Amino acid sequence: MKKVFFSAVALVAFSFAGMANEIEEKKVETVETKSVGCHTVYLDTYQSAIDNGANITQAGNVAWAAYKSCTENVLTKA
Amino acid sequence: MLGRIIVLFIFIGNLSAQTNSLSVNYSLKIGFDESFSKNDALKDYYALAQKGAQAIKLKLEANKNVSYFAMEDIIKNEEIDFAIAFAEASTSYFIDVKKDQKTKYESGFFGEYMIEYQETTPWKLENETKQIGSYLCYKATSEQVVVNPKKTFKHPIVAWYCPSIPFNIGPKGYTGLPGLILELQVRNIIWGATKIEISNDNKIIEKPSKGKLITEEEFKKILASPPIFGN
Repeated sequence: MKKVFFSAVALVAFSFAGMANEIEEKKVETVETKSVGCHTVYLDTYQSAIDNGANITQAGNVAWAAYKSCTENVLTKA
Repeated sequence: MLGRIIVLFIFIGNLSAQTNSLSVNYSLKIGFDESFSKNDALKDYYALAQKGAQAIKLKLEANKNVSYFAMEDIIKNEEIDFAIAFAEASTSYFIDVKKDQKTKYESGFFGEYMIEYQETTPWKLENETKQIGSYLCYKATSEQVVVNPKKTFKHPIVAWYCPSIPFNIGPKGYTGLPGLILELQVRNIIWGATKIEISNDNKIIEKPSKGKLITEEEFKKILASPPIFGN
């Protein structure tokens, strides 16, 4: 009887531990996706500025401001 | 006739003697730009920059030998960040006329650098005049040639200079006109004088020593390498 009881307790405990790990993994995945998004914002902004006649200093500064704005927005929303 | 010429020379001599140093405040205005304002990736940032520009103030300090042009300290926000970026307002300029030396100071995500350069602007003097405050100004035009990885672009430059203020300098390191530039437009960005202080004192203007000294070519290589992203 004791064996059955302890087996049931262990099963429930491991199930919760497993779920906790799953939640943790999902959080990491979300942050990585947002970070890649801001990187893309930098690259798109830089290229658009260059295509529209900006010099490389201006394009770099505008792209960096866009990247900074993107990361700050991600942090505010998180 | 000879008498008139002598009187004119005495007048010019007196004016030069009274203007040993200069301090000019400039405001910044970012106007509508056909390319930036309509581009999907840039239009929102450019609109923010147009708002942020209203808060930016710049200052030109000069004596008979040297001049220094820089943005005044400001508490930044998103709009101001974009205005500084589009107007390249974080670049400051030190010019030594006597030594024929020009130095610009670049600061941004790439770090802080000091670059010596020898760029001059081929001006075309126009007959058009404009009254700015109590000063009669004359129009001069040129072109900003931008060579970037896409192609070569040419953006219009319009300067309004004032011969009655005998300093051949202006905002953003522009020089070479027979008088102080009170208003400068490069592409659709305008620097306009808001306050002029002319003094007989010999103001001391020290050359700033900030950032690593590198060449223009080295700076271009730094900009060409992708930045390291923090997150």
